[in-house]
Amino acid sequence: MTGVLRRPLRRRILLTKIGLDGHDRGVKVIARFLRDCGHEVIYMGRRQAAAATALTAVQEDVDLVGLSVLSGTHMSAAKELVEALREAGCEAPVIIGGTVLRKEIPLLKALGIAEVFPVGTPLGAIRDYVDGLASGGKGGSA
Amino acid sequence: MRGIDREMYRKRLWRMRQYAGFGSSEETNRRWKLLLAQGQDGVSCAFDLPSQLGLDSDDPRAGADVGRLGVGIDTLEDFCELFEGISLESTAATFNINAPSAVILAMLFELAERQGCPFDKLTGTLSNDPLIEFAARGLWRLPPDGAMRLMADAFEYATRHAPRYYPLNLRGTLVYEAGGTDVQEIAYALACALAYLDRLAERRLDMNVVTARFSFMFFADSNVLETACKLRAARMLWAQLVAERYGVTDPSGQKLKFTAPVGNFNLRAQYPELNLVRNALGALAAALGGCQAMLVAGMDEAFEIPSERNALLGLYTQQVIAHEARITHVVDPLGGSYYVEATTERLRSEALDLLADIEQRGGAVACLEHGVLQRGIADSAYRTQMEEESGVRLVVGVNTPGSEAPVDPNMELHEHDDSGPARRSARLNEYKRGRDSAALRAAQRELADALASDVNVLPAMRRALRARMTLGEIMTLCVDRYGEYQEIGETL
Repeated sequence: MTGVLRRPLRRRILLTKIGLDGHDRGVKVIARFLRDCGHEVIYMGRRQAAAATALTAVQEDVDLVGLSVLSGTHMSAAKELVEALREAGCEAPVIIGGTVLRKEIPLLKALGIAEVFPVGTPLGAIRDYVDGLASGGKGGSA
Repeated sequence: MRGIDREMYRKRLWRMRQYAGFGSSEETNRRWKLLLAQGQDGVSCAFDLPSQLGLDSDDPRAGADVGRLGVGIDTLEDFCELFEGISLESTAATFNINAPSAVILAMLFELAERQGCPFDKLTGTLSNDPLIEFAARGLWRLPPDGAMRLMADAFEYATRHAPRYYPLNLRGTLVYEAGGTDVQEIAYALACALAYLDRLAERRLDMNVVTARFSFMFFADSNVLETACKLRAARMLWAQLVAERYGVTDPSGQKLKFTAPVGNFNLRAQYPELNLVRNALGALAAALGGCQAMLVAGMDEAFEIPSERNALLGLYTQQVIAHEARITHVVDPLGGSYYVEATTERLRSEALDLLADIEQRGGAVACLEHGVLQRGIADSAYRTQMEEESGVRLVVGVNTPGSEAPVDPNMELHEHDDSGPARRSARLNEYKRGRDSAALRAAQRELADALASDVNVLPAMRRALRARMTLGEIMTLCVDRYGEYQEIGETL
């Protein structure tokens, strides 16, 4: 009974773009979609520094950090971001969206990325991932 | 509306210039020579992101983006190497770069002088469209006022010294690629064009000459009929606007000239071979719409910049349309179709309404500063995505029967050279060491003075380049004068 009636928790999600890539069509669509799904989304915008992202993640006490990179520099951006977050004391999972090849996914996970959503991923997959985040997240009732 | 001249492709085909560039000047030069040997009549330079922002490759902000999506250009030497063995006199040179356009133009003039190419033989296009970056792609550097000053200086200098060159190319395509509709693409491009025209009119330039040197870039999607109608509508609107607002009577000023890029966000990761089909449709649309030039992306666009083979296939796609589709012997072959004429009129009318709305709100710059255009694009992008997610908009291989999750393509992709940034750094240091500090200081002072006054900055930029000032150093002086643009607020 409880499983059927359970509604997904409202999550606090931070989205960011690190590096010089300016293509933000995807990240903006995802931000809006996740808001429509009932989550709180903060989109920091383009050309963010990893350190600034980490600071915001801590200040906003987010449940999830999403990185958008379409310039091919996702490896270095991922490494920088994960390091900055952990150093700032943020344990939230980090996901990546962008022009990532499947064969790079294990490499990104080894750097501490929780999940990768390459170009072409349906929005539903991202929504399901967010819904599936372990409970104990902030954001109160649905 | 039907085409900008009576004979169109009967007389001369559209220009085929594949967008190309990566890594170092040397690597890009090689790819250019390959494409030129295959029938291209000019080059279209892809710059890396640091260069597009006017940052040197050793700038801390450049990082891993050096040499990635295009060639990295820090110095005049880098620029000259791009054209090693390529004559400016016989090769059109197009530069797809906005924020530091003026500096790139200065480099072009320096190179022309070195090659002994008379300036009036220079052909090609400089994008030089800073406003569109605020709307659609985010590769801004200076705030609008400073950006417009550089745009106008570059434009004026080029029209005076290189009358055959196109020193402005309104990138409507970036609006469409970011998710804008056909109507938004036309209206936002024209709104920015009007902002530029007003600025240039303030300089008391001959508007017949000015408008004749304007060109555009509009995306050619697979929806063949609507794309052709969009292009026809754009031609009508331009002619009407320049005549009404600036009194342009010269036909060459009334004619809208444009390049059509084919293939971008619409090329999918699933079944990448289908992207060849999409590109064929886009190229057909562009030709039926009367483009003056065309670029076709690689079928591997969802994964990487084009491999050599895929860059060639893009060029060959254009050639199939040119030589095998049997459409080039008729001007505006779709003309007269009820649907085409009705749709052209509808798009024209809707774009005009949207343009009027933008003007009522204060024009392109005001709308950009308040996020109006950005939100307009984001709304359309969201709507399109929702249509796709719900299956209202079908995309083969993505949401049709037989669709699969994307996998890595079964083809050789372009491989990025990771050793590039380190080599560039060494090169840059070497270059700077060879500088004469007195000449450098004099050049810096002269450029700073020019920026602070009303004089055209191009001569000072050219002298700065000769004194071995880098692209980044020159842009830093521009930032000192005008500040660095900061995007405020969210525009989802």
